[in-house]
Amino acid sequence: MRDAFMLFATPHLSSPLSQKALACLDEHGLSLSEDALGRLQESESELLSTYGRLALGTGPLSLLAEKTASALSADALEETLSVLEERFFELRELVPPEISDAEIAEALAEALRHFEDDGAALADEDAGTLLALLSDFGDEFCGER
Amino acid sequence: MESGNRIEAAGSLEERARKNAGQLLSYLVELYLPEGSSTISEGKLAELVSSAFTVLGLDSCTDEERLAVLAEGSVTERFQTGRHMLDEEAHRLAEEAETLDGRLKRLPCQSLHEDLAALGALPQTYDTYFQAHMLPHVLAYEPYGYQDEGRPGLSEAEAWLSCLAEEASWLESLGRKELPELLHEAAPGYEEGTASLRFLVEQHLAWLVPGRREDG
Repeated sequence: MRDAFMLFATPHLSSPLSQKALACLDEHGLSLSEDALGRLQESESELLSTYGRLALGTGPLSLLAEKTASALSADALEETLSVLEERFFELRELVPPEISDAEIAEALAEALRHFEDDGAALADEDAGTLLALLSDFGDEFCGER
Repeated sequence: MESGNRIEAAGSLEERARKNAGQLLSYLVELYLPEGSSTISEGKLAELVSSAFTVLGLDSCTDEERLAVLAEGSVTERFQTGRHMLDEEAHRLAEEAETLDGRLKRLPCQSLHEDLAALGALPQTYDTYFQAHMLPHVLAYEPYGYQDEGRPGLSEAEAWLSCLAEEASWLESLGRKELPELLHEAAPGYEEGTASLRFLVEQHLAWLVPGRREDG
């Protein structure tokens, strides 16, 4: 019998992307192979573990895919989503808890557009610089945790 | 075959418990986290679950007992019922604290009266959604016979008030109207201390205690 606390820990989905997220990507002519989905799922699990967090509902990657679909390009889609999720977890640690994950995802979509859809450029920014950039999109990102 | 059936039954119990726990968590997350949350920190989850266990009366239960309770019926509804019961309990304890504050008013003791004021405010400060397992105040005064055993939530306040009620009765039984003055004379500055008033009397004014009064 597992610890009763664990009953509350949402079991991870079989896919890291919800149907809604897949549909959003599809709307923009984007898709991921099964292998890519598997790697993203593995990466998400590692990030959740590293940052001591648990996924709720469909998880952060689905949220990111939904919010950033219009700013994503078919080239290096998997890599960009992977970078976005890493930045998401870094920012989640830095911004106040009252800022929702959805707001962080939206800000990351703005940041991606700022870098002209270049995920690699987004990956090169350190978290502090990225946070400063995001503060341009909304004052709430300036708050202390 | 029999053991296989047992495993199947246990699995189904755990599935129901997991489903009910998930529904309760969704309800709490909706209340607690900002809309559009896709993650929760392990620390926050532990806080929510600890609070839920207190509300559901599962603090001192084993994992097996918790599983059985979580697998039955609507856990979220029972959580709501438990919340209301704890709210009522907070009101009851607050009234008790106010009554004791009145009875002990003539005895100045900062930590005692601050603790009583905090318990009197329990209906406003006790959080039955997210921190039902914790008292929203650290009790500084230590009534005679009381030991902080890390009881969950209101249980700690109940144990503390129970000991204090006994201490108040004991102090009243001395029948000395001038007790504050006697205490002040025997232990100057006690008003700011945290020692139990009964302990203080026994230590410094043993002659007041029936049966321990010195003859003549």
